[in-house]
Amino acid sequence: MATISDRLELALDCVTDGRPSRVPRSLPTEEFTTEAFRAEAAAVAERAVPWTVGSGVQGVGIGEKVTEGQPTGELALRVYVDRKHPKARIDNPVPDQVDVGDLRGVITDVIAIGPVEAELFVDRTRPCMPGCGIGHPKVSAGTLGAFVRRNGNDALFALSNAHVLADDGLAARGDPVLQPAADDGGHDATDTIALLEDFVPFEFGDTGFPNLVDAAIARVEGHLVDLAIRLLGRPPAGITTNVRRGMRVHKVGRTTDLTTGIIQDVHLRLSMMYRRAAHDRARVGFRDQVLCTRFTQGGDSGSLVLSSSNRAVGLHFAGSPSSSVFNRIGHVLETLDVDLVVGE
Amino acid sequence: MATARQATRAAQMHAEELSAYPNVVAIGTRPVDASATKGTEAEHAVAVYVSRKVPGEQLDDEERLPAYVEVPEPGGTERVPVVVVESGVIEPEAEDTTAVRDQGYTSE
Repeated sequence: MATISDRLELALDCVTDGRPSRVPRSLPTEEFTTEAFRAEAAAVAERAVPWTVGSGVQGVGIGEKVTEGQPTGELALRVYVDRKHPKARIDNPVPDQVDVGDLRGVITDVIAIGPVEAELFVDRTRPCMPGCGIGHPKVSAGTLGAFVRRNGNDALFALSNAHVLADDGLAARGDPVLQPAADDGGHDATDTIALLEDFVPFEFGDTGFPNLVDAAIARVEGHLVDLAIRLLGRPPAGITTNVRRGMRVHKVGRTTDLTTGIIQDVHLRLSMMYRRAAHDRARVGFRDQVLCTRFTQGGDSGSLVLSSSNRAVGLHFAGSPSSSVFNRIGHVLETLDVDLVVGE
Repeated sequence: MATARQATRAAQMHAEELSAYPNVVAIGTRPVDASATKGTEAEHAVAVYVSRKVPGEQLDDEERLPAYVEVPEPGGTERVPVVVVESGVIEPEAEDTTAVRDQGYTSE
């Protein structure tokens, strides 16, 4: 039985590369390896060039079709554009559906995601925005998640993980935070964007799950930053502590940009190894964490996790080959004693 | 049948002892039937996340996770099933410069 996502993967290959990279197991291999199919796939790719690599097209992928703002529950071949235009004004609009030989009726969807500049997350960016790569000079790279304030003061702080801004907690207050991060070529002489202000110390131990967050803040000058999250074009709309299994969340991160995950477990207790001293790693047990399907990669640590209504639900900090884990936003803000900067 | 609330209590009560088994990286809860994502009517289990699943016959008795854990209820105890989920090693997700670590996982 051919699954819809296998059909879409095959269609995506054909439309972008002109041939399947592999035929998914659920599809009849013989049908999709014939000369006729190859010729058809190559022709489809050629016809699709205006809407797969044309001006204003940011990328092509697979995702849920969204009609008038509502997810339809149906997977579609997605074309990501910087902004949408009326069809009549486009010479080669994205067809409503794509046929490649026997692979017929693959539906498409056009999603406006704003201009994507591939290197911007790792490049030096001023003003610097949430979603950009940052880190302590001794840390490879993480993500600037959001901005926060303390006690109603005007001073602005960048929020990310302790393992990003505070070198697992080994850093000292006042240490520089770089944008771009060290791994992306940042140097403290020229690229310091913020100074480490505070972090939540880890409670190490061979047993127990006392920790709630991997979080830190660094003081930034207001003129160096833009409060709007990259790719979303606006700050978080607020916060919500309502997290449910099955709920869809998204984040903008240094490595994988804007991606979506689904919450799978809202009662997660886990332990991981962090450095307690320069050459001493020890166990840190966390409670009350949230596990999602995989929607992040290394370097996305510190990304703000948002609900579909753009309210902050968490701070991404860890992942495995099949999952991504975030701290609940309520715990982050409470333990650091800060307020999230929100807006419309 | 264990409810979501009982599974949550069981996960809290037994997190320490379940974490002591080999390869366990995290403890949580989930519906027994994965398609039941909403509501508390579905039977819930304690989820034990492991770096790698190992067939039961390759494990010594004391290494094998229990099939269920118990939570006290008025007038008795409720058995909450334990499900084992292979999550891989979960690590902090700063950019990793060492690429691939042991166990064949690309770390974060």
